[in-house]
Amino acid sequence: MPKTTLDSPTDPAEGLAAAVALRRLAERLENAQVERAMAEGWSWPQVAEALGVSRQAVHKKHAKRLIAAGVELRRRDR
Amino acid sequence: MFQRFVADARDTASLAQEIARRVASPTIEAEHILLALAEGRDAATQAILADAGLDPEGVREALERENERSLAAVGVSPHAFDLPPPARLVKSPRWAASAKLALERSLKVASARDDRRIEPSHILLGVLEAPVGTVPRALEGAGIDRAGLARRAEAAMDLAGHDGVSG
Repeated sequence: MPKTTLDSPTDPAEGLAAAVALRRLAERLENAQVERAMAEGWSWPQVAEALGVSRQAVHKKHAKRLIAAGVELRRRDR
Repeated sequence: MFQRFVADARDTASLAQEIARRVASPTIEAEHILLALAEGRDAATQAILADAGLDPEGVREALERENERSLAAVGVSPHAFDLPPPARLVKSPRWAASAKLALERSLKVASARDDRRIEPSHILLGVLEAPVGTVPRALEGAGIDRAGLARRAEAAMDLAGHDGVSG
């Protein structure tokens, strides 16, 4: 059977650099998807629960940016 | 931190911050300092970098390849899905550990040379001294001899007659 999994990098330099690059990518993905969810009318509690973080955390991290980007937020949950 | 920096060196630091903001990075990293040196107004450091193929486009290319290579090591392709352009920042990017280390190293380089003032070339040497991390990996991936580049930067400083007094 063909091998479908990758070995974890054996060189720490490769593995650590991968962790750095994944962190950058995860950050961008989170920003984009939170923006999309809020633009589609999700509430902060929903986004927080989907991300597995507290409502305060997600609000603190994203609210200002989304307001600056002109995303209309659901007023009740702001 | 910036008291001993000459105007061009301060410009390099603020340009690094501007570049971090431009690419929507919440932190200023060593690679943003390298980009600032490549883009910056200090002709001497810019020429040394450009001679090694590190004009701004060359640096960006090397960093992009490093990012792709790092992700590929764990089976992730940044091109596998469409990400919108990075969201814009509302807060000023803050100095990250990699950038602080580069600046600290530039101070050490100056001390070792008895140079009282920090110039862009000291910052370049500080950035090039990092043994591990994004910048050395990007340079290695682009086939650039980091030590050789540092030697050329030092030779250029010696030629320019940095005697530690005139600054």
